Amino acid sequence: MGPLDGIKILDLSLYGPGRYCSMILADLGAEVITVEIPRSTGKMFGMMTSDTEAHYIGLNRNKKSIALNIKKDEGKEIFYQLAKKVDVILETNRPGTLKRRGMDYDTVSKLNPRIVFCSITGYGQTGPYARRPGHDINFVAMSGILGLSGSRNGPPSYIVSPMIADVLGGTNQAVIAIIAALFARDRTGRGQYIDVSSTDGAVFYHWVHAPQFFLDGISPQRAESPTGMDMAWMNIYKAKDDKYFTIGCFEPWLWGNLCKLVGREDLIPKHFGPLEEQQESYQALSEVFATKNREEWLKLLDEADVCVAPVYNFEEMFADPHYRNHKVVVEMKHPKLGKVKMLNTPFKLSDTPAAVRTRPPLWAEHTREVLGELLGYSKRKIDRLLKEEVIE
Amino acid sequence: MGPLDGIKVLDLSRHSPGRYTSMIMADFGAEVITIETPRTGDSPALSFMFTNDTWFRYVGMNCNKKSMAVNLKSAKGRDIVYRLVDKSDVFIEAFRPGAPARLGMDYETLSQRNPRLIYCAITGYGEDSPYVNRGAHDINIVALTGILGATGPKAGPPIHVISPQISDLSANCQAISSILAALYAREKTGKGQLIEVAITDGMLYFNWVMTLRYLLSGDKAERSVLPSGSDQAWLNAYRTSDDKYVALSCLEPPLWQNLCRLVGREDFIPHHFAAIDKQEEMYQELCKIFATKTRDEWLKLFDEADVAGAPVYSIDETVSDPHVVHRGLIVEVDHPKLEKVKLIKSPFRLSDTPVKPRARPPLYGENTEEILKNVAGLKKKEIDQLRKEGVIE
Repeated sequence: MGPLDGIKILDLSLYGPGRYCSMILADLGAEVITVEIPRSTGKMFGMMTSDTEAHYIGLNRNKKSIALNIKKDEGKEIFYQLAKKVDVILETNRPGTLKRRGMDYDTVSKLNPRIVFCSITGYGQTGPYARRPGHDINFVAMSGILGLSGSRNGPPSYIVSPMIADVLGGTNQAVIAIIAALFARDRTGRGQYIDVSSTDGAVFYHWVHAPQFFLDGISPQRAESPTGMDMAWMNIYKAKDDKYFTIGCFEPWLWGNLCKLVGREDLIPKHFGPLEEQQESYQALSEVFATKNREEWLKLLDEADVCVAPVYNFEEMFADPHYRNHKVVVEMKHPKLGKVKMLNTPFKLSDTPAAVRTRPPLWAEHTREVLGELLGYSKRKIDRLLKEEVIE
Repeated sequence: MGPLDGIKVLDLSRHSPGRYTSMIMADFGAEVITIETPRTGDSPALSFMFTNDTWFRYVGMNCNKKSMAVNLKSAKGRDIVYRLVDKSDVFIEAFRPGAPARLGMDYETLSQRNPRLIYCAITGYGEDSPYVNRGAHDINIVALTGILGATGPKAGPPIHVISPQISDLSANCQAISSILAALYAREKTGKGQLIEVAITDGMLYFNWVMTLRYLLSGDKAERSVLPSGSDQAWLNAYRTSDDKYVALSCLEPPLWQNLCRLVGREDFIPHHFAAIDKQEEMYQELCKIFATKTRDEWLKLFDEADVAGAPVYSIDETVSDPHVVHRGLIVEVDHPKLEKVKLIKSPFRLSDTPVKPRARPPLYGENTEEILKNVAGLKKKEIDQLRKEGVIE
């Protein structure tokens, strides 16, 4: 059994931050029902409804899919009935939207006081930007991450994937808060409301640079160096075969190991030296590293106990024995795609393991099943609702 | 009350993957004891990095916790930790694989003493990896997971994001979600369990967009043609007339239309998701347009036109932004050595079991005596003797 066995989640979100959150919870054993907007409404663009695209496959395994038009009275009624049967509701609408529709926490908690209701938005439910639309690049800009990334000689450099604020600031904050609220509910008997702001989450994770700013008043800037990093001991170097690798020698003994290996003991005392010394060391190491291929350096650096890793592209990455050994990819049968590869869960619990149990559903595959089994609707009623485009 | 009130956590880690995890749990109401290495006998370099309780690394990772220093290499020191394990719910460590067994602090040993213990082991590559003995820092893990290789423009080297350290974060998320799930499961099973956090594996999982696209279509993410790391005109950072930047993201067709109309380039509307040549052309045109007004002028226009825009801030601008102020994200607490110290408030907002206001970070080893007396039940005389022997600090 997974640790969240028996927990039921209704996910009203459409994008990654919500969908990935409910997938992590599904991997941990929760029963997740994703609520899609019927295609008949014409509101959805292709990317959102195709159940064979990477986004859909990647975000929906272990879940059930239903499509419900909540703008119709009966559709909303079905939502209320589902809300009474589930433990968690997750949504990512702009603040105020669900209140207008009578589907917000205040309304739902009267029907189901044990409900844990989580909203994920870019800027939170309150504040000057609560109504502003936004995506990851906006939140990482706001939280100072984008301004710090890249070289001063060029524009800020955006990290396209992973979406730091969405995934780490938003999704994970929601996962953590939801499980904490479920844990608390076992003791208080009550559900509660969770207001997740991806921007706030991203700010919270500046655990090095924000405290430094508070204590020393140093507002960090983009690097002088083209790699975005000014420290020789933590940087990206090019090998003879034009391949890159990284070293991260924060601990003085690791830096010592590196300098000894390349015969530059003179650099040891310059470990945390000023920018000029860092540039000298970077230059010196760049020249050394250009003399052998990446594979040779990896072997030598490993033997010398230096924190090293190759800069991989995806082909190289999945060929690496580490990933095969850890089975980070799972393959499942899929009715439209034949076989489909997915990322395995990295959550390793010895007694109640997380697992990929069921393939991604087809779009709205479980509407009938959920209405029939969970809400007890008759086949006739479901047929009528289908015809009236309340469900799909 | 916080959601984790009454939960007791022992944290033996030194870096942020463990320390920030236990801090989040402390924010949630758990009672966290960090176990430090006594300064006696350690190298001066180690002391500087890990023992300076007024340094930003220490201050930033240890709020709401208690601090004690115990020498794990001494039998008496280990015995103290065992006594604390008997009274704890969660044990966090981030040693290299094999070290906990050598110290008698592995899951098998501790779970025999306390079968309800949730033991979280955080490592770079896990226990069963060809890189099991390799040290790892953030830059290595983002390299190995293909992220670094796809960040920055092709014209130069890969670009590393210096803050936040994203793999440390993904470790926090993986660790704390697993620990919470295990606590939840323990209510039903009555048993603790072992959680293995391999940071590399979590980072790969959280890099889902890029990785899944490759798994499904074989499309290998590459660094960008454009200088800004992103090859989409609708998803980019643009320089404004005051030499600042705005970040734009108009994934939804209505938002893209709003933007194109705002800047008078309705002709771009049908090319939203065009191939790179057209994206580059639109990027260059938008660069020219954005260079005609200041950042603040554009932000006002974006808001009025409903475009997803935001200023590219430096940290000082971030912490003084009206949003951050409104949400109360920065708090100030008293500190015995630093007088006042500013901290980032927990972003977790739970309505019924809210996270507590932040207590200041402890001084190094500040609570050793208190914990030994109250939790381990030692007498003053015994404590003094242990201190003399360098077992504790």
